[in-house]
Amino acid sequence: MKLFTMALDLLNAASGAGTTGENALSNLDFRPEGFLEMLSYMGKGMLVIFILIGVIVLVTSLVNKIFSKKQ
Amino acid sequence: MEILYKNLLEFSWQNGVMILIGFLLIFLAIKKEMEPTLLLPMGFGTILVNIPFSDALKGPIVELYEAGIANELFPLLLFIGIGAMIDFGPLLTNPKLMLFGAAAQFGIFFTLAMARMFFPELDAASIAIIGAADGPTSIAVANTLGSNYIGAITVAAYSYMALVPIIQPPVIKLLTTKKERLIRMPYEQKNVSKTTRIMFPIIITIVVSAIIPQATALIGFLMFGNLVRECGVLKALSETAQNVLANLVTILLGISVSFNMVGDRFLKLDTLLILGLGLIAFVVDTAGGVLFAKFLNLFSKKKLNPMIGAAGISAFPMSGRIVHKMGLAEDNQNFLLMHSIGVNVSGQIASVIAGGIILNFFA
Repeated sequence: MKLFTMALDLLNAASGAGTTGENALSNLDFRPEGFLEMLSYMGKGMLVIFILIGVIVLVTSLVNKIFSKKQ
Repeated sequence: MEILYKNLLEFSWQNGVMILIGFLLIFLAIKKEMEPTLLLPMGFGTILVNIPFSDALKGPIVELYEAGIANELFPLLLFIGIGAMIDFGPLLTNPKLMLFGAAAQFGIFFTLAMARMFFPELDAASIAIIGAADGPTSIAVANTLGSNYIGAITVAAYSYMALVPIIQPPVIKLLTTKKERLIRMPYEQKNVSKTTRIMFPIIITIVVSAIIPQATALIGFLMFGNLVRECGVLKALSETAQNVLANLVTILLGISVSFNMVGDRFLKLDTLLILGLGLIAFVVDTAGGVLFAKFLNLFSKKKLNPMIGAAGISAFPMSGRIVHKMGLAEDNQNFLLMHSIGVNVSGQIASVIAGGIILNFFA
């Protein structure tokens, strides 16, 4: 993590743009814990999308059955 | 005489590099025919905004950006055209195919976690949506979340969509055995009634909007375009939406996105990282679809060709065609097109839903 920050600082310094601010080549921070923070969103997101698509599959199948019989 | 060189002295190296990138985009659009309706205006716009003291940046391009992207109008209008282009027939024949569309959105959420290691939350969410493989959704979400990286996100989304034929095959081959790729899936032709075709876009809009209201505009405009196509009484309007409207809006979209392609804002390590994360999103999307099909095969009697899962990525219709071609390459009598296109259009719906979910979480 420190290595990443040092590399960024070096790059910014080499570009002559300064280590922070709008002109810096990058203002990124490396935070590995960010990955873990987002795992709950990953789980919730995939669950919601599967449930929603599941509902659409059921409704579509139902509509398919109803209207294919009538016509 | 000063007038001849005064402005030239203001050129920075960033301006020079961006003008070269503008040329590259124009080259890719013309020579390689990569998304030319978008990359050509974007390339030219990039040149326009990187000329020092360019009045285009102060006037028309800013106006276009405010009028069409800041309020999400252009992506939504484009969705009417895309909706009018899509035939949901193969999907309606076998609605279960929609599940692959859901599985192939995994890249979005995986990239969200990856991007969060480097970027603030809202930017990470905006970058993740590159995995939707859907330009208008990427632009609309990044804009709503106020991301500073909308230019890089747009370039990544559209470039990787055009590069789907290069990105997907190695991932599919890596995750499947030859035996799996040879699985045949006979297509059972079923008649889908006109009423079902008309009801489908309306039902999708109601179901999705009721659960994820943040996706209402995106899904609503997409499905409205499809309703115009399927209703049968607006043929001229449907054709206009598919061709004239879609092309016109894409041109305006491309040139206004270039507002964010100014050198000092674009030429950062962040941009390179975004391009890398976008690639990860596409690869994981593809893997998600293929692995989900393999998972289903553990339980089903009728085996699925796992390659069709890869078409759940929304890049329509390239992804569906690639899977079909890969099937033919393994066995020239294995026609997967109807299945892969069905999965591909489901990816279009699922990617919009995923965009809505991201907005629901972070907007």
